[in-house]
Amino acid sequence: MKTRYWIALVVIACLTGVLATKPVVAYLMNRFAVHNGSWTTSASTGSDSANIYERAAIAVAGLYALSNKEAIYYTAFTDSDGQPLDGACDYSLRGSTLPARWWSLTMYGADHYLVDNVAGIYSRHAGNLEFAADKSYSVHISATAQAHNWLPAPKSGKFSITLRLYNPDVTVHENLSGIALPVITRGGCK
Amino acid sequence: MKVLKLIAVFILIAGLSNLATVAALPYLINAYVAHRIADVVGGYNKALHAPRPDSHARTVVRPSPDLLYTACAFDISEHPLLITAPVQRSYVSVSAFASDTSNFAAINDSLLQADASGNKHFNLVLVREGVSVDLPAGAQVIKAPSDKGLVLFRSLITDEAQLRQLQQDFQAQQNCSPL
Repeated sequence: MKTRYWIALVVIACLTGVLATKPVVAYLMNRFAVHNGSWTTSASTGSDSANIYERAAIAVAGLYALSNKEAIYYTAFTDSDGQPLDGACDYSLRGSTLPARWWSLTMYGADHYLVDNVAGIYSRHAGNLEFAADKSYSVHISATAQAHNWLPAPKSGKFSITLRLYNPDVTVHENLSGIALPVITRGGCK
Repeated sequence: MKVLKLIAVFILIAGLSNLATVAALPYLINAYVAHRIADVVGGYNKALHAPRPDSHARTVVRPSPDLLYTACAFDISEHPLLITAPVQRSYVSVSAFASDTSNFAAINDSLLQADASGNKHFNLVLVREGVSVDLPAGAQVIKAPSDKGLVLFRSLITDEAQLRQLQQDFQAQQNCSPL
């Protein structure tokens, strides 16, 4: 085989390897992830024990995430039926107080940045949520303004929600896949 | 047989290329972000007091809008780094990230001892592993696995009405400098 064919094969193989980075990292991250309803997390985020695929995924979609000793990050890309979260639809997110020193629910667009909205609301947490008498809450996720507990979504396209638990109780560490997390239910779609 | 050999070579090279890209990605992203931060403040080992994140923030992905961030791109190849800050009455932490983005240290306000007047302060010295240093009085040492990386202060905004005060009285005092 002529040298130029070998060179072409090597170049194409290298490019294939580089271009495969995103899907390979996404696939392996999902395999390594801890699942809890709509939410996924990693037991080794930010730590020395993270493998190179976890580290690459965090660098792309959660740069400078704290290790689990300090904070635990759950992210939802789907609703409770496993359908991707979509700005064309409205959702309700129902839950109760979470076992951590501080926790929050933050909306991110498909580009992993905060979503522009007229109200300047990017997150919901214990300090700005309206709770029911039983300490539960219902967050209304929509691109259209809502009267109570509104978490603005993008007008279209995929989005995700990150649940941050700072200084979580030991019960969270012991049961990442089993603690009670908010349930995301799809409502109407445009 | 020749085709099988070519396919095997292709898969091997593509696999190695993928592995190298994945391994290099965190280093490249960290170097890019640290360089951008150093550019803004005029060099490494200087604090960048970032405004509260909103939909226009593009320096780091998935920022929390409930935190004020102060970033310090560090290079401790020549001198250790002194990290200091007063402590507010809500969550505040100092975390340090190596050149591969791993979080090798995180210290929050609840882990600090109050002084005689009841106030808490961050008084930390970041030094490369294996390097000895004369610590300033009361300082705590953090060992870094790489010469370069990033230190992040996270200050929780608990009261919107107190945001300006939090920025002026606490975030603005979060500092890093060569020791």
